[in-house]
Amino acid sequence: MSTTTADSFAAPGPGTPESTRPVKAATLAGAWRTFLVRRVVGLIVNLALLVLVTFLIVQLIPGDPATAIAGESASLGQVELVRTQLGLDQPLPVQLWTYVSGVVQGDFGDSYRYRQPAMDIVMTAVPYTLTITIAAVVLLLVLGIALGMAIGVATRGDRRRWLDLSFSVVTGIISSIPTYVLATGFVVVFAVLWRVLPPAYSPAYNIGAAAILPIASLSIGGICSVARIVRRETAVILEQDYMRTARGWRLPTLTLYVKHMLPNLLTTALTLSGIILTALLGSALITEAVFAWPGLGGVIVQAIAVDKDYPVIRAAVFVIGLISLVMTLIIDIILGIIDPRTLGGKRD
Amino acid sequence: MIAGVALAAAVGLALSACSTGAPEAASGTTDTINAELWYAPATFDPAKASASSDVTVARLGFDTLLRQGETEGYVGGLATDWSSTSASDYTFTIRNDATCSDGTAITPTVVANSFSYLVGLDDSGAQTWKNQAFGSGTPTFTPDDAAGTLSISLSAPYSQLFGGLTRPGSGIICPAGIADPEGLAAGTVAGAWSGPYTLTKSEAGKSVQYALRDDYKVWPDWKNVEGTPAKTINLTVQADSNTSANLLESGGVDLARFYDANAQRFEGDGYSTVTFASSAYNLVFNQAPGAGSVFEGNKDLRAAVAQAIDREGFNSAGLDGLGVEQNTVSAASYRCALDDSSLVQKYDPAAAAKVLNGKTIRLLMMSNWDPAGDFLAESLRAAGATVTVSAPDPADWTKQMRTQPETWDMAIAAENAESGLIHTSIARYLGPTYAQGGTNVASSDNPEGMADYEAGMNATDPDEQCANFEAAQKTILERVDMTPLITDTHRYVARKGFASYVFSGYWDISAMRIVS
Repeated sequence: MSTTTADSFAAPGPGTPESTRPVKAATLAGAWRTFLVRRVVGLIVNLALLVLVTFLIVQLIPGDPATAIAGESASLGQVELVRTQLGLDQPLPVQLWTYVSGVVQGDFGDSYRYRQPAMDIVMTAVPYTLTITIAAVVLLLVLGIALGMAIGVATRGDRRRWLDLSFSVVTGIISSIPTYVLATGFVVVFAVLWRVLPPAYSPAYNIGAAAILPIASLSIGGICSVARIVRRETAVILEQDYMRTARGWRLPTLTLYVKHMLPNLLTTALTLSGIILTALLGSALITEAVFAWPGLGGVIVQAIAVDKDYPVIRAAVFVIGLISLVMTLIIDIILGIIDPRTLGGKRD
Repeated sequence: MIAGVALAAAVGLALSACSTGAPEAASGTTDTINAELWYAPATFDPAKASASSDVTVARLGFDTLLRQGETEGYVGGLATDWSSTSASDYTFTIRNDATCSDGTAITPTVVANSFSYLVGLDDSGAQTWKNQAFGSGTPTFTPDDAAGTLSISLSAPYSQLFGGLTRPGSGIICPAGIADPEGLAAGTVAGAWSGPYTLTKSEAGKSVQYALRDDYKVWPDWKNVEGTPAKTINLTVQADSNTSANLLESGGVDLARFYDANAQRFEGDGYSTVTFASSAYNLVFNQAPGAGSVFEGNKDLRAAVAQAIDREGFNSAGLDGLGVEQNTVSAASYRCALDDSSLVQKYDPAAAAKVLNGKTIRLLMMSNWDPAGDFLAESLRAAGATVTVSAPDPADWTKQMRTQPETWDMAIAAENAESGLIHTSIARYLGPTYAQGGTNVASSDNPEGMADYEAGMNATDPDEQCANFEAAQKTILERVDMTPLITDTHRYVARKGFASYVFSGYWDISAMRIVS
């Protein structure tokens, strides 16, 4: 720690001549550099913590992996044989060192159950999870913004109060329903009663058709949430001077709302979408169980509840964390492009 | 992929509101069977199979010497004839028309090499199969290709060898598989298969696909199996019973396994159902010397607990009433299983209360058996006992029951009831404990029963085997070392146009058929 004295540093003030040293003005490029360095370092630190914490947390999962893998009819000798083969007889620090040194090389170890690289098992499932999650995010952004804008414009200045009230009540109720409840309800209505959609994933069905209900389950709550926020933002933006001026100029509707209003809404919507995507990854794991969707959910549940498959759990949690961190970074970069003020730091 | 699915889903979602009729199901796929597994197979090496899904798919890819008879006994698999001169000496005649998937003839030497591979593996799953097939001793295999026979001699008598050689883990692995163990486990060795199907696709943790071999002609001589085997079998992982029922109803799968009331959605309407024993639910009394169990040396207390429990109530609470009352250590479908209810304590809560009042009992069970455990605990509390319930994770439950007898007095145990080998169930209640290298989870000291058990293991004549094994079961029941509760009966339901079969209590996946 260092200290400065009044003698060594004089703050400029009225009547005080400014320093002759030129002011180093922060440029946009500099802000970007600082932002990216900060975020990349943060990403690395977060990943390191993720690796370490995941290793420690899986030790707390109840149940002995060797017993789970050896099976119910195994003798104690067989269980110990499995324990030795899996390296679970080693002290924890040795296991940690083996794990970390493997992860640095991209090796999360072999699955206890499947006896093949844990990351391979996870990466087999990831595309399925990303498919429904990203599709849901795209849907909820597009439909949520469109719906929120439409309602916001329609109810501008306290017009159509019944519509505003109905919108708030309906979207409030829908967005408060847990995803797995919605999913179950969709199965009952669309698959069991009406029989218009597959109830779950099966090779007998087209994968696109089988994805409809999972995506709908994941997106509808988010659509309502985004729509409610966008509707509020729309109301605020519509009252701003520049919008009033634009309306006074009788600009075409499309220009008015798409060119002048939408960019301002996107900042909020995109920020929200990053948070929603992370939450959706969690919801997707549960939704997958309802629809037998062959994504990460089933892999993680089996790895935790049945097999105590530590390498698969670690790899899955790492991948989910990585997806979340990278998506957040991408969204922050997009936000930085749209609105450089979000990059942080001071610029003259 | 993501864009495509998203687009298809979005369009489909929009259209679904105005579409009518059933979703696009498996119509027209008359050469394909879509079915499910609860968990994905972890290995395709039958000798290393340990999880239920490994065992299930092993039956598709690897033939065994013997198969379960349709109603009793055995039928030939790769063997056409089998005999024994003692509980240690067996001879098999190997059929001369069986081939591996690469065309290699399956000779007695091929069979012997496969068994030697199994016996030599340093693997937990393999040790289980080895013990089930050849007992605890060391087997010696003597093939005679000219005569077409294989002789097996055992260092320790083991009368259950025929039954053990029906088990999928003893499936014959062809030379190409033995030459490449890693490829065998991954299912990638094209010539490894001796059974009717070969693996064509596997997504780890998700699904597997099998294709029928064009050159496979050695189906067992089943008399009542109708229909044609599927050219393609898709098995996807799906563990939820409600989802299975919905998929079966909509045609997403052609067969599904049920353990609960969802099975009752398929009574009639062209659905066919077969049933088989999945698990045997028993109450085990801990009698480990010095472990502090209230049941050690207290037969009256053990009997009182058995009297306090209404088994039908347990069935309703834990198994939706779909199980059947069990009268011995395992399911009634097991060969040599006693089926005499007079040996089981009758439900008599009044008599039970006289003994149980004021006693404290520590009940151990698995974490997902809450309704059944609650029923048992409340039954004992109603009889005046104080019951503390411990419900750890399944792996911890297993470990605790086997290695920590000081932590529990009685335990609900659900033993796999699909092996058909009664001696493994008997050995859970007599003989050496786990700490002693055995499987006696009750730590009971039953020399009389042990003598009967060993006599059964040494007998050559099947009737004599059964007489001895039944006598051993009788001693266990009379001593109340355990009390049988319910056999968890599972159902395989096939939709119209498909069928599956249970042979002597064993559901055989290779006998799934398309019947129209």
